Amino acid sequence: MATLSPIEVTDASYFYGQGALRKQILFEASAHVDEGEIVILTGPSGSGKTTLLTLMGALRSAQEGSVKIFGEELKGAPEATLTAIRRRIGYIFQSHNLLKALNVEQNVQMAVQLGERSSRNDERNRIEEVLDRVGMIDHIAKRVDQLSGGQRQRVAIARALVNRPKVILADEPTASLDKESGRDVAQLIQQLAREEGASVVLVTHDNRILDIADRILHLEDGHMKELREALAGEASRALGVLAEHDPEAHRNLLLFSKALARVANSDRDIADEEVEVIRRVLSEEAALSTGEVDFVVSLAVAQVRSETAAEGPGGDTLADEQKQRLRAALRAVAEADGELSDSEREEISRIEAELSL
Amino acid sequence: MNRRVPLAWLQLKREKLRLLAAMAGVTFGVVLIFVQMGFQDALFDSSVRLHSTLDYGIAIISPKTDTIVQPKPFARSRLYQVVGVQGVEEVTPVYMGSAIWRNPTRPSETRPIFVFGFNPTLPGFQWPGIDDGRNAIRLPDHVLFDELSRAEYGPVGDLYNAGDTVETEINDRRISVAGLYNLGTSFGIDGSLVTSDLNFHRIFPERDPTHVDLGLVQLDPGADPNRVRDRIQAIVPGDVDILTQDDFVTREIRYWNESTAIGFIFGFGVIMGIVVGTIIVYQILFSDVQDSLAEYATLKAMGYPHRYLVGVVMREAVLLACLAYAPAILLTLVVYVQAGAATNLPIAMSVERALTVFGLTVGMCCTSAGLAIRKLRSAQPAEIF
Repeated sequence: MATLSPIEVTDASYFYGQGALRKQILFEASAHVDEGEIVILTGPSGSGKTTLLTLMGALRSAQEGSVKIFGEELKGAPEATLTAIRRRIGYIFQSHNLLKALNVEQNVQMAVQLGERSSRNDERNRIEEVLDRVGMIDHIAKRVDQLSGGQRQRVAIARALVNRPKVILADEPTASLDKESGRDVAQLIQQLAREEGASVVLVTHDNRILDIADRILHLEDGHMKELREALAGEASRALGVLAEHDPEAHRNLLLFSKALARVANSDRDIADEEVEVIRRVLSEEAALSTGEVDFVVSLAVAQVRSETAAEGPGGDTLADEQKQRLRAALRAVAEADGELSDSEREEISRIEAELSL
Repeated sequence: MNRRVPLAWLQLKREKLRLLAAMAGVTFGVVLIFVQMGFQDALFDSSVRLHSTLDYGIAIISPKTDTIVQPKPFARSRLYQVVGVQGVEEVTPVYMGSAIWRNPTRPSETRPIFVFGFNPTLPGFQWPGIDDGRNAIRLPDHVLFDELSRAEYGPVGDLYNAGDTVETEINDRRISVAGLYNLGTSFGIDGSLVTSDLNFHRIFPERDPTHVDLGLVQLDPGADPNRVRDRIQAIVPGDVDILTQDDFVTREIRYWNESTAIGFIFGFGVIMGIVVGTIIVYQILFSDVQDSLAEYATLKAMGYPHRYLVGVVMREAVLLACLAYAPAILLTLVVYVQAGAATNLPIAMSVERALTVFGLTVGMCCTSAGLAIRKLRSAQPAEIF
């Protein structure tokens, strides 16, 4: 029997508003999260990320499709079922949403007393333990307004985790934090989730914390997108912006990378040592910033990879279907200006030969 | 031991100033209710003081007499008819009327005073002090004076107790005070005199002695007033009303309550108190819910059911009611003492009223909570995040 995914969203659609003002936010979105998996959900604002997360958190119900948490269908489920599911989920909000009238301990206790009844001593131990793990044990008696933003978010994490939920949902938990505390908070969530074997869905558009994820899901205008689709679009947009606002840098960087790729490509390989040297030269001799060096190197490496890709064993790195598509694409490009010139025909056959099409 | 977080209390005291303002407002409303009820009950108590302190089993009055303050006479012969009825021991005719009293120390000041006349040889008219003066009022133009009458009648009690002879005029007839008794004022009677039936007719020469204003029937020991009343009713024609003590009291209160604006005025005061309290509590609870909407939505997102939040707001209301009630009842006791001293009205706290008002206070706070809870509906986690 296949293990049940704790989160299973199938073709879920969601609409806001009524009648003529009805607006679709999610379009048949599907996603699943396996046990212990950390999934980051990205996408521009207004893409429906938070809506999808609230569907998973039993905070709202999908109008179409299916949302199953712990194997339980939430669509059309009665309020009591939703409430019961919410108790088994640790929800971390964008702003900490701690109760200002309570101190740190009482805020965590609000979550504890939702769980199974246990002795006050036992509860106290659990509260202290979880606060210790998030590094807030020294602030246990403080009021919320005596804490910094990062500290508040840590308390909120403690509150979400104290009942050891198997699913943790986090909605932009680092959005209101500076770079460093944002990073700390993200790592804390990752570490605690690993220790508990909990599944995590983390909504963010903070690129700096993408690396904690096992998998990245991307939403755009309510549609689930493949990561490559999303990132390729992102990269081309970035190049476009650079070309428009700093054409000189755009040209120089591309030139650098093309030249580098050609040199590296002459021996059909780009070794790690080579990369090191290139990096040093670029930053010291060409006086490029770290980001610019990264860009040039990544682009060069990518070009070398694309050249060598076709030369793998048997040259079958491209599937037949993809070869057909590529060939058609080459022709279409060449014919775009109205006629197929000889030089174009020549170039096409050379590429076809190189890529063994 | 498993102590839950006392969220309602913590929410309530989060903003100390707001809590204080809320308490002050509710306390004001509660004191208002207490004072209105106190005055209303005092009015009713005082207006039936005569009815409840006289010693009789059955009272006979004219059907036209709505209130004892404005008595309508009826034929004295009706009372003789009653004497023979089984269970009746004695019947005392009482004459009543309003006369003009001249202040003995400041003769230029006159004031209406209520005068009771009865046959001093009959036992039926009884107040503390009456028996001592029973013989004195057999003398012509001698009267007993209610020591608890309003001060505007002059310092009659003090003068009398000091041993002075107190003489003045009633309806331009010279009389002297031969004793004191204690009845007290009501809204209708500022002061009163008791004298013999003969002296009464000297003061009111125009009154027809064959017509009386009130008949007091003493019953045989152990006789049931209701059955005697029924027996009397069977033999007298409908030109008199036969009332037990309870009937008599009820009839008088009904007059003040229904036939005058008094019941309405005090009822309105009570309602104002409730409205003021309700609005203030609503304001406080509403702004608490409003300010904490995101926090309450968070609790829902964590898995607290809606009814938990309803419970929190309700508990806040009850706490507020209790917090405001304690100072309110203390303040009320002070007001009662002051008002009692100023008006000579029997205004006092009763356990029953204390409980009634506590119930009203809690009810008032819970009504406000019920209104504020509608706002809780918008604490939807999905809408807020």
